[in-house]
Amino acid sequence: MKNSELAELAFNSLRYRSLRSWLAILGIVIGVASIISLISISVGINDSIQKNLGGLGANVVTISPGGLRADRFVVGGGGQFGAPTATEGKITFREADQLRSIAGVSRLDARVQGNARVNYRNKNTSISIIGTEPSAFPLSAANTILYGRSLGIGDLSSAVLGYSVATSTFNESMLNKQIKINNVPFRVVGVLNQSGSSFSATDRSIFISQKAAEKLFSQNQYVSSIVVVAADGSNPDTVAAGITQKLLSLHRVSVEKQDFTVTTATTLQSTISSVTNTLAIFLGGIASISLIVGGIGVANAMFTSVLEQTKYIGLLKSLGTRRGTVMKLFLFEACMVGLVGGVIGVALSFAVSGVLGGFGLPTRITPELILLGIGFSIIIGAVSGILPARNAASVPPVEALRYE
Amino acid sequence: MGAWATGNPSRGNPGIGNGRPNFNLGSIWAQTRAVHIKGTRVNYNMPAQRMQEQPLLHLQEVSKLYSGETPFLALDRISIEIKKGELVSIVGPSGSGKSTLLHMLGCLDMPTGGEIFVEGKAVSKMSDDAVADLRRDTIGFVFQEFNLAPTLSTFANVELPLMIRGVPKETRREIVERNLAAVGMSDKAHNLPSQLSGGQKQRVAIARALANSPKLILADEPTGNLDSKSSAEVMSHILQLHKKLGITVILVTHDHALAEKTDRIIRIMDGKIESDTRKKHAGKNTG
Repeated sequence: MKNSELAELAFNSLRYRSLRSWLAILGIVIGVASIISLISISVGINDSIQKNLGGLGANVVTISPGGLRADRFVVGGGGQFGAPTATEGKITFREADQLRSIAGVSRLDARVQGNARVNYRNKNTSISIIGTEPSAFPLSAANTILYGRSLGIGDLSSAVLGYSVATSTFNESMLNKQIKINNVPFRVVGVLNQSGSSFSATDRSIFISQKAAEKLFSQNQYVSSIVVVAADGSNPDTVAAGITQKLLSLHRVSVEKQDFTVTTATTLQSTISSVTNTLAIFLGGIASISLIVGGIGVANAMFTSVLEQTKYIGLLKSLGTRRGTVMKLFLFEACMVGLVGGVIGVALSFAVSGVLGGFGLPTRITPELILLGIGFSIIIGAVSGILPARNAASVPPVEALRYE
Repeated sequence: MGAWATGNPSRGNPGIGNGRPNFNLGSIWAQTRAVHIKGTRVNYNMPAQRMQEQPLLHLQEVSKLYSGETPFLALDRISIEIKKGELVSIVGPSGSGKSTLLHMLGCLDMPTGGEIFVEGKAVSKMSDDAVADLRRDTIGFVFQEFNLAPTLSTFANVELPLMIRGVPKETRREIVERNLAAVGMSDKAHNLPSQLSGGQKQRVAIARALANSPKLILADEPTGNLDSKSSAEVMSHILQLHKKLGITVILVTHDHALAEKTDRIIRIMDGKIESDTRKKHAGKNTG
C-alpha cells in the first residue's frame, strides 16, 4: 500500500472519530503554542538586548577594577559595564597611563566617577557624575554632542549633560546654565545625543573633566574605570587581550587571580546571549511539560483508537495487510495528530505572542521556532503512537476479528 | 434469483445506478479476473483442468489447543484435503470447532499441532508477511458480521484489498465498479456501511472478497445475520461464484438446507470430523 493511501486511511479514521481526535490534537496545540510563545519571549528579549548593545559602541573596551563576578555585573557609567564595586582590585592612574602605548589604543579615558547631589534652582537630585578625559570625550562615551560643545582640556568647571538629564531631570534648555554638583558650581556647556541603549548610563549622567572629578570625589590615585577607544581597523578583542596581558604583568597576578575586568561588545554579547539562552531553555523546559502531557494525550487517544479499531485491524489482516503496514497506518494517524496540532499550535502562538506584546513583553517568532514547533509535535505524535501502533500490529487476526 | 441475466457479458458499466443485479455475474467477474494485476494475468476459467491439480488445501493432523486455566481442545487431529473448484460446507453444532477449522483453513489462526498446506506449501514454515501475502492473493473472506470498515464507503471497502495489493488506482476503480455492479450495489457506492441493510452489507462483503481474484472463498455463516430473502440472495451470489467461476468455496453454516446445496458436507463434532460426505457427482469421500 502506498504511503499516500495509508495517510488517506489514517485521515479517514481520524475524521470518523473527530471529537476524540480533536481532543488529542488540542493537547499538542496547547503544548506547541506555549513552547513557541515562551521561547519567543526570550528571543524578543535577546533582540531587545542586542539592539541596546548596539548603542554601547562596538570599538570600545572597558577596564574595571575588580575581578568579574556574576553577582557584581553592574551597569557602569559612560555606556559600559563594570562599575567599581566592593571586590578587591584597584587600577592606578599610573597604570592607566601605561596602557596608552598598547597597539590599537586610539584614545584612553581614565575615569573618576561617583554619585553626587546636583542642584539647579529648586531641584536637588542625586546624579551619576563621570569625570572624563576631555581628549577622549565624547568618543569614549560612544556618543556625540547634540548641542553646545564638548569639554575642553582646561575646563575645570564645565559640564556636559546626558540626554535624559537635560530633557527629563531638568526639562528645560540647560545650555550655559549654572548647576551645583556637591555645592561646586559648574556651567553646562553641552548636551549629549541620546545613546539609544538602556544598558548605557550615559543618558542619565553628567560629564565633567577628570581633574574636576578628582577634586570633587577627592580621588587622585585610583581610576573608577578606563574606557579605551580602539583605533580604526584594529580588532577591539585583540586590543582587549593586549590590555589584559599588560595589566596582569603590572599587577603581577595570574589569569586565575585576575583583579580587573576587561569588557568588549563581543564579550558582553556572549555573556548576555548565555543569559538569554538559559532563559530560553528554562521557559522552553516549562512549556515542554505541557507538550509531554499533550503527547500522553495522543498516546491515550491512540490506544483508544487501536482498541476501537481492533476489529478493523483484524479485517485488514484477513485481507492480507502485513504487520508493518498496520503499524505504519497507526503511526501515520499519530503523526497526523502531531502535525495538525503543531500547525494549529504555531498559529495560536502568533496570537499569544501578539497578546504578550500588548503587555509590553518583547516577543519574536522565528522561522526556526516554527519548524521546531511543528517538527517537535510530529515527533511527539510519532513517539506517542509507537506503542499503540505496535500493539495494533501484533494483534492476531482471529482474535482481532472476534473482538467486541 | 431470477434477477441474474445469463446472456452475453455486458460491456461498459451498464448496471450502475439501477441497484438491481441484472448482469451475467460469471462473465463480469471473469473479466475482472483477467485484469492485469502487478503484471500477472490470471485465468480462472479452467475448472476441469484445475480439478486435476494438487489439493488447494491440505490439513494434516491439525489440532488446536486453547491453553488457560481450563485447556480446551477445539480441533483434534483433523485431516482434510480440499481440491480446487470444490464447493464444501462445514456443519456442526455450536462449539464443535467449525469456525476454528475455518480460521485454520484461512490461515487466520495457526494450529498447535499438525500442518496446513496451501497449494503444497507448509504454512508453519512461512514468515508472518508471507502468510499475509497468501491471504491477500489466495483467499477471500465473507464473515457473518460482514466486517466492513465503518469509516469507509461501500466503494472504498471493496477497494481496500486492491489497495493492500498495490493495484493502480484506475484498475482498482474498474474492478470495484464491476464487482459492485455484479452484486447490485452500484447505486450505494458512496454510502457508509451504517447506511446499508444486512443483506446489502453482505453483498458488499462478497464484492470485496472477490476483489483480488482469490482461489478460495471462505464464508463463515454468511447468512447468519440475514432475513430469509437476503439469505437467499447472498447464497445465490456465493453459489454462482462456484458454478460460474469455478472458485473453491468453503462454507460454515448451521443451516442444513444450505449445506445440502453444496457438493461436500464435512460434519464436525467436538473438534473431530464426524463425517465427510460428497454428493455422487462431486467425487469420492475423503474422510
